[in-house]
Amino acid sequence: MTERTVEALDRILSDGNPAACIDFFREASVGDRRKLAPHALERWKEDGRFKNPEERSAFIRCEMLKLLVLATASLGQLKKMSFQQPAPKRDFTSHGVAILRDRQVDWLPTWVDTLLEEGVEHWCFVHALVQSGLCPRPEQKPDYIMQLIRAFDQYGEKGKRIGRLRDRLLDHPEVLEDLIWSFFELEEAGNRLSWHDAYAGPSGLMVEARSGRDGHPEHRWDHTLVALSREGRIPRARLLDASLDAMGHDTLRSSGWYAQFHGLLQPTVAERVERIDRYLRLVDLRQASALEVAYDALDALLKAGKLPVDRVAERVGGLVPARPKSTVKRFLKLLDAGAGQQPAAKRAVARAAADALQHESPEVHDAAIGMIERLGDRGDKELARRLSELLPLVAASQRTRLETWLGLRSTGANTPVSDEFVARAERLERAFSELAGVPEALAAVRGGTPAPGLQRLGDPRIPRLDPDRQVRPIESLDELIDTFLRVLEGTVDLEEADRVLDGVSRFCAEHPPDFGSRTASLRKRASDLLSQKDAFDQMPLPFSGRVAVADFCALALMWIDRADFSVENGPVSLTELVPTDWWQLDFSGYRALGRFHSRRLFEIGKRAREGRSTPLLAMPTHGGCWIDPRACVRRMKRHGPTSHYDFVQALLRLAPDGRSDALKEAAALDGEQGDALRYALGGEVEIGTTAAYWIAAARSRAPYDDDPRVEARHPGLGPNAGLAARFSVRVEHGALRLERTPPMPSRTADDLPTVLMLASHCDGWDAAVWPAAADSFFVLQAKRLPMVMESVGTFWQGDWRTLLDPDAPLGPVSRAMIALGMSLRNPAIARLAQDALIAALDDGRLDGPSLAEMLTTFIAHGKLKPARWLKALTECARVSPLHAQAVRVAVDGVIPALPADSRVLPAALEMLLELCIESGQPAMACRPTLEGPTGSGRTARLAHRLLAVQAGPTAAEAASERTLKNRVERAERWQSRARASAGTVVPGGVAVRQTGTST
Amino acid sequence: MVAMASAAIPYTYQYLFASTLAAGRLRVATSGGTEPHPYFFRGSLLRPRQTADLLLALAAISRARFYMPPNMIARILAAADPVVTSGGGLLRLEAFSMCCGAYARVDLLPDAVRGDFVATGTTNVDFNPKMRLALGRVRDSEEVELAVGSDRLELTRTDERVTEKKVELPLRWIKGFVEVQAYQSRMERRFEISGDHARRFLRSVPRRDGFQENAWVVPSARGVRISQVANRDGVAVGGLSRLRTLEEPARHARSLVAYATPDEQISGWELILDEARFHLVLSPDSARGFSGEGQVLSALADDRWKELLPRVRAQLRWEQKLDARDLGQRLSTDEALIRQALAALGSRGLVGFDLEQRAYFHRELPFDLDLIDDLQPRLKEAREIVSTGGVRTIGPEEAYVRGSDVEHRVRRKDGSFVCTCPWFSRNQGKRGPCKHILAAEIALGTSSD
Repeated sequence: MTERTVEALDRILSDGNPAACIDFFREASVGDRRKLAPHALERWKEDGRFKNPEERSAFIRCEMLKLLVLATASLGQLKKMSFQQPAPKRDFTSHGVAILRDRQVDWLPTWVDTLLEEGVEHWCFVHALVQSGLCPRPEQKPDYIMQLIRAFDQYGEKGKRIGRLRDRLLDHPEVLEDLIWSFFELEEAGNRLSWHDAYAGPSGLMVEARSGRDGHPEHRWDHTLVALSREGRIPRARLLDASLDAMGHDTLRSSGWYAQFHGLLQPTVAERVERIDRYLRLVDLRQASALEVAYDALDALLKAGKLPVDRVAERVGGLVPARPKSTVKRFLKLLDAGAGQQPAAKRAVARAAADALQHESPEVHDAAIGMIERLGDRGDKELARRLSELLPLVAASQRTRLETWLGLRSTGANTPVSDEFVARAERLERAFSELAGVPEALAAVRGGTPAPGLQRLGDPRIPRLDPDRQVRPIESLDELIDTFLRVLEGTVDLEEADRVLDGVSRFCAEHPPDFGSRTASLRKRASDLLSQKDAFDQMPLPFSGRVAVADFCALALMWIDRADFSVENGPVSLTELVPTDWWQLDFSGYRALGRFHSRRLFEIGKRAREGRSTPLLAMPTHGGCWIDPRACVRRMKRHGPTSHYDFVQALLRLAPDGRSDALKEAAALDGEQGDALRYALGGEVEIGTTAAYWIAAARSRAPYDDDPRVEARHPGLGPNAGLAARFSVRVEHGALRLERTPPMPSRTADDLPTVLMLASHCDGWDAAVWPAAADSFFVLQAKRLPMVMESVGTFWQGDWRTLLDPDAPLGPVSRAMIALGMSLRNPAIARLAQDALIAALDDGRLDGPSLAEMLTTFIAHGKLKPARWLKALTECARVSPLHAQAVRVAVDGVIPALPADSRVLPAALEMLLELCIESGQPAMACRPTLEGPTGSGRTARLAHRLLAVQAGPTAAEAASERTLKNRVERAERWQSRARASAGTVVPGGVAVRQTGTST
Repeated sequence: MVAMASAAIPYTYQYLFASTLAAGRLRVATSGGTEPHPYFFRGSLLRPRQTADLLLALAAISRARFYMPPNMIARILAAADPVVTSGGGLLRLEAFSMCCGAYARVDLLPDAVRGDFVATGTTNVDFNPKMRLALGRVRDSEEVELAVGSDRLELTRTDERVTEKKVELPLRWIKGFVEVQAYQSRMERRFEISGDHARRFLRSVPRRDGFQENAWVVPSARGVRISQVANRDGVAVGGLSRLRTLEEPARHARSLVAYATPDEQISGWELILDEARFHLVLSPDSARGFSGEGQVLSALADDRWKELLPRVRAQLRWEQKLDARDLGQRLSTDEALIRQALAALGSRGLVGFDLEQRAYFHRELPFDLDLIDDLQPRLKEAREIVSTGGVRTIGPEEAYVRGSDVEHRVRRKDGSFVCTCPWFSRNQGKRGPCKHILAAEIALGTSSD
């Protein structure tokens, strides 16, 4: 009887005889194996690492150790170790199989899965186990088949491939007969085969494939399988079917390998006829390679006169809306030729051509209508019904042809002018009607002339206080806590953060007995957020001007816990919460609007810590963070001067509405704050000493104009101080140049937010600081857009809300935002820009010429993609006749700026052609450019067609009506705001009880 | 304690044969439900190509993973098979994506098939790759017979083998499948566009989603367009690319109807075909499944539905439209209470919701759903909080509930409960009540008030 001791095991190990090892463990009990396992594993740890096969003795020892471990270790122990497959020089596989056969364990299927997950090096061993019947073929996971693709590669010296794939396959008939068919069934196999064959050069190096040397046929699966089928070793018919079916699988991600493989098989016409259903299935697929296989087959059948044209037509009809125009045109051409061969199929082909009209391309429409004209039967009622349905979708340049074929008389582009807006226009108050440009729009509608163009906004008479968007102050401690929690989670509107600040300021003295319990969650959340590191492993720094939520957290703690903070040289005194030495950092040189926020919040926090309750002067009264000036005055009259940053903020939020009334009420206000407020409201006072007050007052008084008096008293503080910032946007040497005047000073105080917003990043809550900021708010965002031009996954999107405001003026920077945004690869941001463009055209903030000017400015920018513009402009033109008109004028104006060899020129010309025909207006600005192209190319053909467009029934009336509608609605909106503002008690008198509750 | 996120139920689909489509005969194998292998229908398809496309789209949803958590890539789960319900002269096939964020249903109306409805019930159906491949080759001009299930006698004459597919059905998948019905019952119709416009629109939908790809589909002068700006006439869609799954079935559509929940969280899309309907319901985002939405938690926390449930359930007869008023009259119960009971039945997989008819229909998902309410992690944790004395009631409408190192305050506000925990502050009830609110509701005895 064999004595199975540790010593005996060591002897076997030193002898290096695998057969002895197998004998040693034959009929060994589970207990024996378990007893020896720790020793075998210990030896493995010491000496079991993979050895160079060239070092023979060490290598043999390593092999023996593997056998010992295999004979003794449990499944758990085996899973923990990396069981490297030995090099194929030694026949470990058969010994390993023998060992495991003796063990008769039931966990082999599980272990096999683990081995396959580890890597391709185990495939031969796993395959041997499967072949020996010790474990079933791993069906659940694709690894077994996927690894087979690489497992037959063998490498010799210097990594060179040795042997031929063909020989190895012949050595393994079970693979040839069975496993290779799985290549055509598994989702990922096509990709893996494609990758393998591309790099199947003699050395298998990637550089070979990159240098254009495709894999060597001896090592490629496709060539090898085709060769074996020629020898009759693999059934050819099955390979043809399998390759077509593989492309037809709905789980397939890549059909390239199968398409190439099918091509290598060179199917005969008879074989193609037999497989027509399979080829037609490919027509439904998206993959270009599968479509190519289908087209080649159908084309071959057409040439052989064996194309089942009606069946192809039935199939092709369904595919058209979702395929590239070149594909659709090729298939239409094929059908057209097929109909020539088989006149009986004309009806089916004409119907397929009708379906092609669902495609967006005018070129496809041209081809399809041509086929309908030649092949269509006017008596085919089903065809006529379908064409009538599709008529609105047909390109303008082709519509007349289709109408003629259908026997319809063109209705032109005229649409009846609605009386509704004319009547509403006449009921408007004259002041608002004129302010909104209604008389010009009305005249255009009545005279049938083009819609009036650009409307200038920014007039101080335009009311901004929306009665439907009044901001209600927080009414209770509970509401304050709930809202504060929402602010910390970032789930609030622009005004909510200010409601919280006002709430803290008013309720800070209110400490009911259960205050601790009620605020416990808020306190905990604020503490947690303050101690969380950001993506850069940095603690949030409260009141540093960098992280707004950190400021709010600190404010919560100052209110609830009376915690102590400072901002003198950055925040201090929070060491127990944030045990780092960040407070030693000097942030005084950091310029950003966040500094203003931090100072303002700290100011509120200090007051909350001391329990001094008072409402905030800067609390918005209406949406958009506007403050009704009368409310502001009443607040000051009731509560006296406010704190420094609160006052600056309040001035910047003053709405243009009711300023004269407010100025009268403010007559009694005294002190520098009273003077500054009166100045902001339009009063004439002497400029005081506190620069921040007077600069804020100047920007509030006339946001976009210089204030020489303030500048004289407080000179050289930068753009948007005494002097209004002015921006110019241009492209120089292919790069964006966004310049502002006057220049930025070297340092900026924290209480000059209008200047700070031009210094560092500015979005999100920053929009709440100066609602009239317009271009100033977008300067830094516009500069950032080119940096993310090609990024799909950028986290930063910017803040586009202000651009969608119908009453906000659209300056050069805002236009740059739209132009740059439309060029972005990120679809979400590009759509935001497109939305802003649609809104701006609707509101009259942009029109055709200004859009053309805007696009022409940026066309020279090296990174911009005019093709993306065209996509956005196409979408925009579909919104309404007004948009179509503006886009037509814009494209007309941009085309001369496009380089003659621009790849987008044909697309731009095609778009312009459709818009010109649709609107009945010939191209104007680009006529000289159109006369340039010669020859018969696409550009020349389009240019000639454009030159031939004659003025016809125009869509100008529809565009004018839309303009009238928009302007009437705008005037009505302003009028109702003004009336509401004059007739309602402005919610400005928020009083504070002794406890701090609002009344 | 089992980590709920990864919890799954081993489930075996056992089919007497593999579904096939050969020689113009579509035989769909069944597994589970009212019988081990029910036999529902025998007849033929009247629009074979159209039905094939709808079934392929449904199968695509059942295998779809629109979102792949990074740690899941290595262990992709086998797809769950669709289920079919036979009753009221209709065949309804439902599927739920593996990412738990997309639900699809095909309703084959009476004109889509011709034949005998042998039995009523709900069962799993085998949609294997070979059958799907054959479906792709179906033409309208050919005769295709359809058999859902099979006659036992017929089976004995063949040598087909039983096919088994073992899958791990994640609990969140099962929960999501039932939860989506609660969402549908709250949806309202937003707009309808023609089939031609729908096809153009679907072609414009991006194939891949970028970061924060939530967008709005808004009516435009010519069909619809995609916008990033909220629009009250439009429908908000998270994970826009998921709409691409409608592209193939839309080939045959007459029109496309869009639905949305009032809070703009969930969108529903219905393709109207001549003889069929295709529904697609999408979660708020690709990365968010329906199972975490907690729409039925309050209903489950309430015990009253349990009393009414057996009575309402006894009235179900595989109707395709369950009329709450009629049920109320039959049971002499208030209609509103019947609606609550139906919602609770929906949460247990016993009824589905038809957006077009605005009514529930009877179907019983062929899974063991008895554990559903116990396996709701939020509800389970809430009950644990209550049982361990974690709720300190202050009055009939206020309580302090134990959280992590802090007590959260739950109180009634404007008719519903609010909580001071971060999760509620972030979601504001859009993803159902938090565990603290559930615990307070249980302790205060006010669930589903």
